[in-house]
Amino acid sequence: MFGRRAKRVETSPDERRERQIEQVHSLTYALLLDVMAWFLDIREPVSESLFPDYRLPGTKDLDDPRERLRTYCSPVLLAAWEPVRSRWLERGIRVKPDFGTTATLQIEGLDGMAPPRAVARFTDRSVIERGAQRQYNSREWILTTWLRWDLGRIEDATFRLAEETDGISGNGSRDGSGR
Amino acid sequence: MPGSPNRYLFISLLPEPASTHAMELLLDAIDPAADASVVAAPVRGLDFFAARGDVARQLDAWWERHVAADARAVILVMDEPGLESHLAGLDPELVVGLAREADRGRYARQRLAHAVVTEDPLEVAAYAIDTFACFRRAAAPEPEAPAPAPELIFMPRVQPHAPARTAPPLPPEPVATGTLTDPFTELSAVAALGVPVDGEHERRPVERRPAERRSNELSRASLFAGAEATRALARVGDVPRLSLFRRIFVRPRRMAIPREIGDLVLGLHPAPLVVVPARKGGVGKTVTAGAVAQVVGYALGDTTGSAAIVDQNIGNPDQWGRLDIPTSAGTVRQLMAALSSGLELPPTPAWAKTPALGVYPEDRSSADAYPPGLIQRFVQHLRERHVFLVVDLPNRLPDYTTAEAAICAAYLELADLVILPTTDDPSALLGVLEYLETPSMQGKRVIVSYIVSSDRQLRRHRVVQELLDEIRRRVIAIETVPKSEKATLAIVKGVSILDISPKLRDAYIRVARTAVRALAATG
Repeated sequence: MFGRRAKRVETSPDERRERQIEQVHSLTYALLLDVMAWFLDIREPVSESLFPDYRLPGTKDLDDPRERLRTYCSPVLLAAWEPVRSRWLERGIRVKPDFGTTATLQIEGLDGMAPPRAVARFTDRSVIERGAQRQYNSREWILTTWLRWDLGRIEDATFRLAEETDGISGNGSRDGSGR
Repeated sequence: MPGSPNRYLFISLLPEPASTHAMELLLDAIDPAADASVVAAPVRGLDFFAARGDVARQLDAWWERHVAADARAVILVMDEPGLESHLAGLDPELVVGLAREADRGRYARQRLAHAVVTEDPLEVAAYAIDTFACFRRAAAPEPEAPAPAPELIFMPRVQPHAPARTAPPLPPEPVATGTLTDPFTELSAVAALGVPVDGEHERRPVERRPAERRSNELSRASLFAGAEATRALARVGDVPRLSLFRRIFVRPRRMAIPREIGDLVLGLHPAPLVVVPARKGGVGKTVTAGAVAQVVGYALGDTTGSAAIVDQNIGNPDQWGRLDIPTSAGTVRQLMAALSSGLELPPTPAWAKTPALGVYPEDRSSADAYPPGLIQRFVQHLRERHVFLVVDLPNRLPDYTTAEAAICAAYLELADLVILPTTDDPSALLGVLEYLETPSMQGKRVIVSYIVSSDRQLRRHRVVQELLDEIRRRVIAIETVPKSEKATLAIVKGVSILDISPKLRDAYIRVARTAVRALAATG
């Protein structure tokens, strides 16, 4: 009766928010890396020394980027991307990825008032080659991901050029309606 | 066939400036999945094979450093009279450009020689790209018209009466003919699925936290910008984490050096001269000069440029004498002598373990000064061979009263940037101010590398702070370096100061970055 009460271990709102941000960051980072590896057909585990920010335990050890994507992406989304990838692979295009040194990640919906959504904005300076043809990219992309309420899975994602998105729809909605 | 077929090293003996372009061609064409690299030899053409004496020994050492035992080495060279006579017993393969078809017979007995009739070194590189398996093959021609996809595909039905699933229509081709598309461009043609995340959202558990706490939380967070996510930012640090993504196909370097340093250095022309003098000894001058040069050397490691570290600390053999430099290495004095007598082939530098760093030690047996004109020629010589020069100067104020002071004055005259190292010993700080007031320093860009004592009372002492404030007003920046015995340990163990301590490494990366930014800021 007079014994000490065990101190309750509670997660502070700030700590919880940090963990949420960390989770969304991890998923977005993994998506970018795995999509590129999938399109380039590179089958090897994610190197921890090269990509210390790839923080999906268990997933990074998988050789096949498609399998890695499957662990945290909606199968419907991957099915929609699959034919695009096949068509692109047939072209024999090679890419030297370079996504600059800065990227921003905005996250909305962590307060539970709206579906969680992350908007990553990054610069693409990749070199694209086919045979003797070479192209130097220099443009900004916006990757928008919609996540499951528990931030455990990416349900939907779009890639849009920043100038298109900036000019057409500033609300980041999937159909421009603000949804 | 010597060497593993899976690991290639292409060695350019081609003449400049074509060699640089040829190396770019080779580097660009290497299959990312292959283990292959390209390097330019310090001596080109027939001289590479015909070298004798010290030069030959240095080339042997260079070869040992660059060519791994299990690598398949391929030498690219243009034909010269008599070249074939030096190839007996040669292990590596050779791609040689011939001026005439008739010369092909001279290489007929060389089993590992590929003869190409061309006078263009770039054609030699192109031949290598076409011949060796580590380069990307040209893409197969695209099919003219892909077969139309079936509109209806039959798949097992989960429920007996469910409709057959139809394949979603392929998005339209997003690009015009002639443009190469990347994965993101292709994916940008895919519309959002519109999956019912809202519906799932409605099924989420009821928010457990008290409603009044919500007002204190973030409704929008940015990982890399904005004040709202300061806590997250604090953990992230100032390195954007997504930047690591660009390294997906870049081979890991031995250490992470900001790419900015290499990029900025390669944009500087002519090659900048950075000098590191001091008024007082024991302030880490040689360590600072060596560390900055090493950082830049690492930053240039994947490029065709190289940095140089030059010992001009004449009369003070202590520090450089402890460095692990081969005794056979050519000295600055030898190089100066070669330049003044018009010799064609001055001694090659010793190449440090650091990638892309040439080391020019000084002859310790003499402490004579060089005429300013000869120093000017020497610096010009270095500028033609390196893209970044660091000179370790004596502990003297610049004037022309002594040999050491004259060396300082002559190099300061040519310097693009001065790094003044100091500790928080007030006499060292006063030495910095004294140096800044010399006529030779007028108009010079200066940064200070400040070794901070671990003694809190000392580093926060009013005198120290006042002197630092005065220095800060007169220089571009003061970069702090933690005081560490590991700097001495690095010398004793014969390892790079950048490898011995992460804190020292980070500090000297900051010093180097500030120096390079200062140089880039004013062109």
